[in-house]
Amino acid sequence: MQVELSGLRAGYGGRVVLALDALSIADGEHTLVLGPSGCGKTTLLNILCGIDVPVSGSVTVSNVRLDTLSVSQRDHFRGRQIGLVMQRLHLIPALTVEGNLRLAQKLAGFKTDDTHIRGTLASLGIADKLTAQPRQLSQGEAQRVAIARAVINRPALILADEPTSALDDGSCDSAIDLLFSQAKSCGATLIVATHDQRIKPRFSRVLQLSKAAA
Amino acid sequence: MNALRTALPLAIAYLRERTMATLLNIALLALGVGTIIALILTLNQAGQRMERDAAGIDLVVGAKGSPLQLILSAVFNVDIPTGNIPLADAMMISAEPMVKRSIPLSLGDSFRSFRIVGTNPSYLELYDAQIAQGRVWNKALEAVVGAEVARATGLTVGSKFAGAHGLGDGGGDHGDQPFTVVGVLKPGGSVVDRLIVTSLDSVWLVHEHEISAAGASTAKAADAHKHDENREITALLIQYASPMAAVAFPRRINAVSGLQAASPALETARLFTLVGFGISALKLFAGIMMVCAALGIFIGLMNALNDRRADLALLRVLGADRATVLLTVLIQGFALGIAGVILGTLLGHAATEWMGSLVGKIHRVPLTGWTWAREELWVIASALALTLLASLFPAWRAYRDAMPELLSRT
Ligand SMILES: Nc1ncnc2c1ncn2[C@@H]1O[C@H](COP(=O)(O)OP(=O)(O)O)[C@@H](O)[C@H]1O
Ligand SMILES: [Mg+2]
Repeated sequence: MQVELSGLRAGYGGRVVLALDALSIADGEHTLVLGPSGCGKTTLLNILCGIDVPVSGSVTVSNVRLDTLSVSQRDHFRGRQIGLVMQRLHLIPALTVEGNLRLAQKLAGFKTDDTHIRGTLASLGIADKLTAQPRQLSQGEAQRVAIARAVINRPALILADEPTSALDDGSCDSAIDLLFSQAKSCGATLIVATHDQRIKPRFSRVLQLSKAAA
Repeated sequence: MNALRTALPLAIAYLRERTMATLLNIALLALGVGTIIALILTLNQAGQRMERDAAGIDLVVGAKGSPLQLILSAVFNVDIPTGNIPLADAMMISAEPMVKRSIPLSLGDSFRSFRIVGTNPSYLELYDAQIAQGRVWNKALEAVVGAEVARATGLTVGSKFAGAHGLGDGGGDHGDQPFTVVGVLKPGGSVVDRLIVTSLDSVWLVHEHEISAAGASTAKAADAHKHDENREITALLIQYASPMAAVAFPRRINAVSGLQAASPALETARLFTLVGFGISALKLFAGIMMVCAALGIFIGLMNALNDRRADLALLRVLGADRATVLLTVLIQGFALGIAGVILGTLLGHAATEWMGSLVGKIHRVPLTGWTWAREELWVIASALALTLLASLFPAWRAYRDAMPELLSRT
């Protein structure tokens, strides 16, 4: 089992914004988390990658009880097990594309592997951007670099937050294609959170969230 | 260790992004460190020299005038003498029971700005000067040259040279009374390295000749005894028989008209208090530069912190714990510090060497940048501590503010 949640309550300042009594996602069971803006999708992803902790309930990811770990243990877990593609891409502008990817390898505690970096960029169709600065990239290229960074450490779980909401239909499809193919090549489970109905047909498993009552 | 491996390239990338500010901070720190190190090297060498050159000399007797000038001219051979004193007076003083050893000096001539000192062999003993080649003089117009003199002028055993009148370069010379070099001394690190040493007779001979050549040729058959009575020397170096002598002996000499006694220890101490203010001011100035550099580093890091909140949070998203984030900022500050300190140390030594080459040509006083002083370590350590201190607060702020939860929603 890749993800196992039970009795989950998450929120901010005493207000519960997400309640999930039980959720389990099997290895390789790519899942779409769908729901309107503000329903707690990002909150769920934050909990799955150990950025946030729930108010109550247990969170198990890759057989690790995240809710019992310390802050720095969760940081290390995230670096090694999770690939996160955030809503905003947040590439480091002072570093080249290569530098950004190497940084991800180092921060996770892995050796830098330039062959793997080149291979990953090639599989995303941006092999020529290796030495480019982030500001020299188009929006689509930057997103591919962000995906490359998420998969560079061969994570067990890839989390993507609204990866398609800013894209036209064509780019939307190819972004999802890339995420699927990358998840496949590193054997990861993919969880995409979005309010974008266009990609609903692409997933066999859809978790529908609605706004929790205040 | 992993933190360092991660933080260093990131820190360098950040520093490269703001080249101007980085270079400015490094330059400021380097100037501060360099100034202090140059001061330390110069003062240390001057101090060591002075200590070595004045060792064993308790008192100097010379003509009335500035006591500091008397010491500078007779002991360190840097200033011009205050005048001459009668040889008879000097002999009387030498005979005093409180005097253990006395060495007469007669100055006035030079060769290529190296001083010619008329004295007796006990002057060489005072500095433990060893003969490297040849022998000590045994008659007038024979001279022994210091190692530095030999090196700079090429004089060697058997060379002949004519002294020039005056202690600088370019006085009229005594070409008709050439000296013969009979010995070259080993380098000993004392003032003798830079001197040409000969007998008192030689100096007298050269100058008597000058006087008679100047017109009094009729007096050339003057009675040798009478001549002896009129003879003069420049100064007398004295070693006491007992430390008790320091109490009354100088006062007695100062009472004699035309004579003064000066203590090298007292006068060098006085010299250092005189220049001490200038040195303190320079050190303060250099210290302020270092503090400004640290302040610059602090401001730079704080600004960067605001510009790069997202980057720091991203480090956490990618798996860095907060300690790594803290180290990243600390290493940035420290990298500046190390660069500034390395550059400053090089600068300090280079500046000292450069000053040495300038001063050495004019005054024949050795000063080199190719040496080390223990105090430098203190300067280096405090400069590094200062940059570390400047980076501490920004690093803590980064530790506190690098929150990945801020990133995932913006
Ligand atoms: N740091 C926070 N403090 C307080 N409320 C927050 C915070 N982050 C999110 N929220 C609230 O939690 C709810 C869920 O937010 P979020 O998980 O970002 O929704 P989604 O990603 O589905 O749009 C929203 O009502 C939002 O206002
Ligand atoms: Mg969201």
